[in-house]
Amino acid sequence: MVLALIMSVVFSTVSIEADPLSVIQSKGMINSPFAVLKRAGNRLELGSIVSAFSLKTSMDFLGERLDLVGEKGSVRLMIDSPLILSKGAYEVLSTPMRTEGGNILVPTDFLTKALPALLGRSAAVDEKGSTVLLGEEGTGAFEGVDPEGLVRLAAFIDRDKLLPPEKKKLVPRGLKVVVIDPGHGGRDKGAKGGTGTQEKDLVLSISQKLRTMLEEDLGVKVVLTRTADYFVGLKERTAIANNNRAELFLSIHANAAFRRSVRGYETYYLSFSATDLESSQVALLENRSLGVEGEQGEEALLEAILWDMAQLEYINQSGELAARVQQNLVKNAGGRDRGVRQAPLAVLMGARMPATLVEVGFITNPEQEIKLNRETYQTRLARSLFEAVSDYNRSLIRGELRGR
Amino acid sequence: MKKGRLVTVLLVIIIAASVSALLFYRSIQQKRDGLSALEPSVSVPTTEEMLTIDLYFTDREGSRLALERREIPVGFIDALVRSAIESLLSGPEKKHLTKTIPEGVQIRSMFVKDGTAYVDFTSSIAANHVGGAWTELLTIYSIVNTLTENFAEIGKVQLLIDGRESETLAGHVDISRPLLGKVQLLAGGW
Repeated sequence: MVLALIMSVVFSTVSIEADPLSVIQSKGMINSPFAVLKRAGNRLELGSIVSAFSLKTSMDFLGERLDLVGEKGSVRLMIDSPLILSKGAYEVLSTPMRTEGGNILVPTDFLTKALPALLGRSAAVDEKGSTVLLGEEGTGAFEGVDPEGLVRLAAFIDRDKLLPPEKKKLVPRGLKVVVIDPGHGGRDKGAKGGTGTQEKDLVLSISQKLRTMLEEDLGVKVVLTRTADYFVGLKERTAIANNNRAELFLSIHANAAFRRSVRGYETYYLSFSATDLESSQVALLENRSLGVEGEQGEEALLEAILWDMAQLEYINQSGELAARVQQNLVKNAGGRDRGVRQAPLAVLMGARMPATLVEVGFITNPEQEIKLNRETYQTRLARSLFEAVSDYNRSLIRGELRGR
Repeated sequence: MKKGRLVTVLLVIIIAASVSALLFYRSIQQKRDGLSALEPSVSVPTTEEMLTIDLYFTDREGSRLALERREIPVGFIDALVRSAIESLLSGPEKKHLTKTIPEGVQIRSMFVKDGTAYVDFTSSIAANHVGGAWTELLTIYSIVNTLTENFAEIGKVQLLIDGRESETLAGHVDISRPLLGKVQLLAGGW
């Protein structure tokens, strides 16, 4: 109970075991029962953090994923990964979490990045990295004092330093920026119909119609990844969405099959099976051993893994979006429902927002090819996609869409 | 004296070659027995030693991969892989199955190294591909699965086009890295 009233706590992270730390705050001096965090090199032992803050832990049976639960929330960590995932937001640690001699080690910035989500309080580490201060948001200035040198180690942390680090949080609010991605373009012609219809032209036309509808009727800013017939790389498309801070990425494609009889709609979102992740990360590690070594190599590897995993935290919303797109197409434009599917599609990989790819019909089917060429049918498809996005937007505002 | 040594060396070489040929033949025989045990009493009217493999084609709807069982002549792994891919290129015998690779595609080269099969196709595999995200997946994994599921020596497949690694085949799926097999596609799911 007394603890619950404490507004701020200071404790040392020097490696020696010490008596409970004294904490000075505006109401006077109190003793903190917190344990000392143990260092291993320039990292901290996670076990000492867990006991210091009475966290609960659970590890998956493969020993790769670790969930920590605190008073106010939980976070998920992965061995050898720098990501901390929590409630639809993520933080990136300066170095990956590692196991060494049976201990799990985390970098010091784990404290500032994970404790706010676990305890509902902001955290700050002083310049020397030896003192951690916890406070409630906006509680103001206080001093922390190490018992071994009251004056010498006094730390003064001002209000600004205690504000939680900026998080990429999914606050329930309406869409502001939407990125539409007309598939293929330029030398990448995409699918071709029997009478010469080209996917790249078709999807650009539908995308432009959808853009007008979204801008005029939903009042959102729309960015197209291409506005004419030119080549755009797959990673570049996602980068355009990320750099525009889009809250939704919709890639529009036309379908093709080996047989002309195949017809209908398909909508995709990214698959994230353990083997997919494993194979891509293993591939990256293997590539590294052949390529750049040292710090630069580490950095490149980290970048690549983060790119691969960017879509992971939006996967539930992406599924919700894909379901709405598929439903609206089948209902409003009419046609065979070939289902919402998950697949390892490269264009969705690096998207840091809910993302989906829609196949609006088979241009290899003679009847569908004729229909897809009609202006009125294109408008109907665009309208169905518009309805799907507005439906998604309504759910977003109502707070019905949750993270993974 | 010199002549005698030469004869000895030659003899040793001949014996070593026969022993390794015999061992190789027996390992193939064992493998063949293991595989054909799955489908008993298939008698092939030929004197050549045959190996049973499952080729991955697609169903009529283009929704999933589907199997066709074949016999191919026993040989070294490179020859077996080539033979399996040639069978994929020429297409299924069953009418309700569909070929996954465009017409006119040829193998430029192929080899197996450290558990990964490298298969290099002529550029028409990309240029003449019909398109579509799922269709692209079916093409890629008909090749990958056929190799990883039939040959214990192969764990991954690196597809190459015109001698190079390529970002994609038809603009949707990353094929720049070696790929693992995905048997779930037989059930129409990823």
